[in-house]
Amino acid sequence: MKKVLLCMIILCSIVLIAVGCTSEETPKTYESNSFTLTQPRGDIGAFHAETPVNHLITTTIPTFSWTEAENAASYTLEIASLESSLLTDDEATKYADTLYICQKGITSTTYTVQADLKKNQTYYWRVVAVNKDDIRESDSHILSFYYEATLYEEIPLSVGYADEWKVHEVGSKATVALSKNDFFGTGEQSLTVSFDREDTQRGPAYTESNGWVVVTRSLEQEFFGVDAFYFNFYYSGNDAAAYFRLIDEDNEYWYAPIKLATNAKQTIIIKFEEFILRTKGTPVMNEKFDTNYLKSVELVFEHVDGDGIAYFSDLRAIRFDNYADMFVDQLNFNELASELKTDSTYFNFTADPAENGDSLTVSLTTNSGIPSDQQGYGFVVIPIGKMLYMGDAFYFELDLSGIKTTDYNFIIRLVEEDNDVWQFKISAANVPENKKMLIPFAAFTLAEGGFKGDGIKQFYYIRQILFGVNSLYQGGSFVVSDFMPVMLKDSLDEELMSAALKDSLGEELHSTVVGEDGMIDNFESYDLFYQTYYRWATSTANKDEAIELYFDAALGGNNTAARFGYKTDLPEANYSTKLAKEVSDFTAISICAKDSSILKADATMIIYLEDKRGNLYSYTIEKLADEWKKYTVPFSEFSLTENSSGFTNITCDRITAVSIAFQYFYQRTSIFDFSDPAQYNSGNFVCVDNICFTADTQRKTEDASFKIKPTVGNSKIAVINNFDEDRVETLTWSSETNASYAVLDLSDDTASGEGKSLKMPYKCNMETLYSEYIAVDSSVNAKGLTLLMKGDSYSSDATLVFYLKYNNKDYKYQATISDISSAWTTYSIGFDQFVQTQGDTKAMTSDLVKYMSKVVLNFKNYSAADYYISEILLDEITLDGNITLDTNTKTPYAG
Amino acid sequence: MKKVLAILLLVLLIGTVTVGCSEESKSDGVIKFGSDNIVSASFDGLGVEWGTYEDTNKMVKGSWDRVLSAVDKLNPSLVRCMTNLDWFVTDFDDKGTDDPEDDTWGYNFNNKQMVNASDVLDYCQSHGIKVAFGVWNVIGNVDPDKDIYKMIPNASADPRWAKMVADLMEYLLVSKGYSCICWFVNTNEPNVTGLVGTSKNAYNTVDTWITGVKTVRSALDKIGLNDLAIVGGDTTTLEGSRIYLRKAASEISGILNNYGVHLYANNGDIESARYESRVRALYNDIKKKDGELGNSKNMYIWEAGLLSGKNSLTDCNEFIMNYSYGLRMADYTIQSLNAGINGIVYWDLDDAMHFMYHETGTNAKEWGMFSTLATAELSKQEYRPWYHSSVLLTNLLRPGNVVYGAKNAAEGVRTIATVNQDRTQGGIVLVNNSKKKVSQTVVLDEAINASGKLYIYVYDEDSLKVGSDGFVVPNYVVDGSLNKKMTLDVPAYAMVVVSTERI
Repeated sequence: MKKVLLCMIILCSIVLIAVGCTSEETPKTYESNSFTLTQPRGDIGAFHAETPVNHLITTTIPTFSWTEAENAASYTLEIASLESSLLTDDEATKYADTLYICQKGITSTTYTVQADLKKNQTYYWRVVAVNKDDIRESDSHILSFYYEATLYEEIPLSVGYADEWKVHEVGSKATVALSKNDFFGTGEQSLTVSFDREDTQRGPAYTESNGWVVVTRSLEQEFFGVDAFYFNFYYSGNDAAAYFRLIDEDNEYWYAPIKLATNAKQTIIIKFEEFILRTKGTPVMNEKFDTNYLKSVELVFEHVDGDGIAYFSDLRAIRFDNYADMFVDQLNFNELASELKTDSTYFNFTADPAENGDSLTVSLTTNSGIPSDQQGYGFVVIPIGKMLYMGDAFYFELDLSGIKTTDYNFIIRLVEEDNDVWQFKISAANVPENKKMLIPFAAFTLAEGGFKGDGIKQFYYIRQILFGVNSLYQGGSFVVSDFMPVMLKDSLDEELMSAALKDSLGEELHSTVVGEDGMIDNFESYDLFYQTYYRWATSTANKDEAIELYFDAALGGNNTAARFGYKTDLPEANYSTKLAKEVSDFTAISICAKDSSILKADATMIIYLEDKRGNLYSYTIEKLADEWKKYTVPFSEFSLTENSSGFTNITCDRITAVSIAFQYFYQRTSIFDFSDPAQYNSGNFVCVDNICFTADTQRKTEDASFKIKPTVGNSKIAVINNFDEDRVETLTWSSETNASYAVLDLSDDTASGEGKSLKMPYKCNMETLYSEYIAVDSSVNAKGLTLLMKGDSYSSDATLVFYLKYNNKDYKYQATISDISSAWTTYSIGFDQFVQTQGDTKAMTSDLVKYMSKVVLNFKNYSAADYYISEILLDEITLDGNITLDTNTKTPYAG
Repeated sequence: MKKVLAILLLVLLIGTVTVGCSEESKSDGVIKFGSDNIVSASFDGLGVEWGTYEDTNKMVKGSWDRVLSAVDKLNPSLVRCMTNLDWFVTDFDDKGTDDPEDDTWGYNFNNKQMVNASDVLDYCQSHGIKVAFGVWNVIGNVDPDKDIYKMIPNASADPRWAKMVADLMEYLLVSKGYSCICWFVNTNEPNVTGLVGTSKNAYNTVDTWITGVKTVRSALDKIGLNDLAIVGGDTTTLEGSRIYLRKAASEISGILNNYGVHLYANNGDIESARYESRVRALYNDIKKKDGELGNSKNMYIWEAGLLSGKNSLTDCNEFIMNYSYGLRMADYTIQSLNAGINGIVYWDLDDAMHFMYHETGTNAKEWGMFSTLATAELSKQEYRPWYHSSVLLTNLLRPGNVVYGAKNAAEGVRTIATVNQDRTQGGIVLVNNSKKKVSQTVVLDEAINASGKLYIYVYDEDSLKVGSDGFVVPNYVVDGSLNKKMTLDVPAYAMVVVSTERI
């Protein structure tokens, strides 16, 4: 039993062992794979690079290839823009070359890189074969190729989708959308950027951003072969400035102004070379407009205020020359002849172009029976329809010899894209003898009734050019030749100006030779008003920059002053001139100025001095007086402007340019102040004269006016002259007769026996004229002129003449004084006794006395038997309010 | 005595069984992948964040084809594509009142951003890729003074948000027919709340977010988009995700079919495999709340990446160009799968997709597998090492595959194997994240009827091979079978992938 039990236990155990192992799965055996993993080893055989062949110039990214190397397990390809990147083992140095690529483990003998290689770049490359035992460079070592850009004739750049344009968050709000209607008629969609008054005001926290809108779109594109941008643009809204801005490869911001023609569909072309680097608050790197690669495109609006919308379409990069037909070049009158029209009821025009097209002869004949208000003017209309692109002036030759008078004006008019009409007018008498004219665009002013668009001068697209006349009442002919847009800086020469003016201008455009007396400009050297723009550069941001010359005797004598224009509630109108030579020894600048702003504007004048590094120093004079004042400011009072970083003070020897600027904000404190609506008022001027460096050391404001005022204690008498305090060299009277006898002098012979009188020689049987320019204060209330004179035995006559300068027009009035007594006699002549001999009919009244600009005495005696020379003494001449308008008396002096 | 004898015999018997079986399982260090260690019976696949490109104008001109070519090769099963509702909502009018009920707005779906989103979705639709489509944040401006929507205080719980989301998804799924969109992501990383005035998530508490999911779910159901799932969470970090997902599992498990997290691991956790245990802990924690996790529901990593190397200012990863990034992401992938994760989306595809906006400017988020940015250095434009390692994994670990784990790998080595559903293809992955070369024998215990060829890829700086087109090619092509033992030498810090088909 025990044995049986033992056997059972053993059997059971065996079974259990078997079962136990089975329940844990029978150990599984696996076959083994029989492969052996081997790689090429041992010495690597010779091989060489195949493509791109050494020094290849290619416009496509090449495929890299090489011959197979014996025992190579793989190849390593390196490409770099610097050969040194391939020669170093230092990884950091290699990858410092941003154009470095290294691809290891290439099993093929060809390789195509994934990266977009930079164009117009030399690349160096090499290939190395490797295995576990060996490394071998190709026999070719380092090769190179040049990846050349394809030069494009044109690169279309769709405006894309609206949401690709981001509105700059810091600026004012704007809505960007895509207009699917064919706004410009080109079949292209337009991007619209719109804003309203609420959008353009962000509240106090964003004051500096108010009215500033920037929309940005990424470009990340190369621009090879092209040299300009083309797009269509339309803007409707308040006065604003718009810029087309690009961010180049090194993140510099480059911008170009868009010459806005409000409410007009414009085609804009801007050459790369016109872009200017923005330096405020943006990166300044190589200061080079890297047009090969541009990162972003932006539209920038400044000073938008209230509702506005811009359309932007058909953006493309172009070759400027391919679009040359779109631009005004020298007018070919032959090509234009068939389209010439006339605009006149008074004149019949016949326009006859020269065979070569360079000149146009316009013949005029008058029609009879034309109403008087339509007489005297007319134009030849030349359709242009092109952009006025390169240039800032017109050059042409004008021959008016075919019209037998000079008492009329020759006029050029330009009709802009928005139908604004701009005009240049010159008296025929002032046309230079050599006929050569160089008229800056800045000299054009809005024609009467020409405010048909935005009233802002773009001179970008010209619909029509008109040549014509006004105040001409007879026929004749004129010839316009070689009419073309030019750059002032390239065109100034001696033939276009007097020697005196030339001497006072520097070699460079907009520069000045400062006189030894420190004079920068007294406005006396210009032969013609538009020549002021040869000296003074104007800003464009204010839109009303303009300089006019005008007569103003308030500063003494036959004085010419200038009016500098500005528009309110906009950035300052700036006028600047560079100093042609370094100056020294002066300590201050003085400027005579008088505010002639309208609509209660009180102009602010800012004087800028620029140093050699372009730093600006400024001095601001607020609320310029309505009367002439001489403002003298020592250089030490000038402050470095916010964006400049020079020395705290400027000294004379560091001054390289002088600017004067004008602006006025009605309720606003600056262009960023949107507390009240802007009032963009045109027609504001500040009168300026005698801009001069001085040796003053104190700031001062002095009266500068020489106006005749009522006598103290007798408000009805205003003495023009009594000569008592005069000296010969300071006489304000002058001879207008070019003769040796006609020389003024002072005499002790006076009516009262005291003081002095003016001795005026004359010659019988001749006319001898003496004159004086005068400025009369508005407080003078005269009804005529009274003279205290003493003649001679010849009983000669005198013609007493006075002129009015009213609205810049001359009016002449004259009366005769007969039989001038040989004893001291008072001659009183009321204004009604004067006969008007020049200007539109205008009765002389007391109210017009303040416009009197000149008095003349013309002595004559045609009854004498010979050409005797004698003299008349003038003791006093007054504006007399004690007489009546019809007074004409001759009273012996009674003491 | 008899009893003693019997006991002795029994002990002897048991001892014999133990030793015999023990010696057999240890065998000779062979890793056997078999049914005793299935990590996933039906894997959902790997993918990549392929978001709506924010500015395609910044790309190299004509590079979209290159992107598609790269995605072709990557062959993702999952894509996460995010967008912004700000890009589409137009004409918002609050009627001048504080009452959101009277607000009106419209949509512009014909814009560039929708084109950019559609370019991604078109591809996914035609390639059978499952997409999680989402919106980064609620609409509005973080600066309360500039915010016209006033939605941020209510975050995604705002009823207007639900309406906007429903309208957007209706447009995409119904009007455009993008049935590839399987999930909606109800805002990115809602648990990163941030500060008022700097973050759109400032008020997005877990309760608010849960309310938002409910509101959005209701709005989607209302328009018949019942099958469009909502990603539960899309939260980031393990701890942050634990808070949101636990609460979600407790309160809204019925309306969630996917627990999604973003996990950025540091190198130390990956190398030590602590990462795996931490993820497993999260997984188990949530599974305790929702027993359906691992059954009808899965947990995905919707943003997968490495924290080490991150530059917080630029949101770039400075190690993204390194081979080690690819190795660690492969390790990350295996550890994640072992921890219960059933789908992973790598962050991200292309540097050109997303940008970081900060006071000093804008920079591209350099965290991609390559860059099509026109301004990128040339070396950054080429395929990066981790693109190649990802290509190997995304092509091997296909949706529906069975994934097998291993228990006896050497220290520092992580390995998995996979077989497709019809058992015709498969492969083995060995990641050696240690400084020693490892010689490892592996075998697939599950029968596979493959081609008889094995394609062996070795990933490290010295071994990775590419063809003339820049795509990865096998180091070796041999005759063999996964069902036969093979001993593979895995270099230090390298990955070996054996596949029955050419990747």
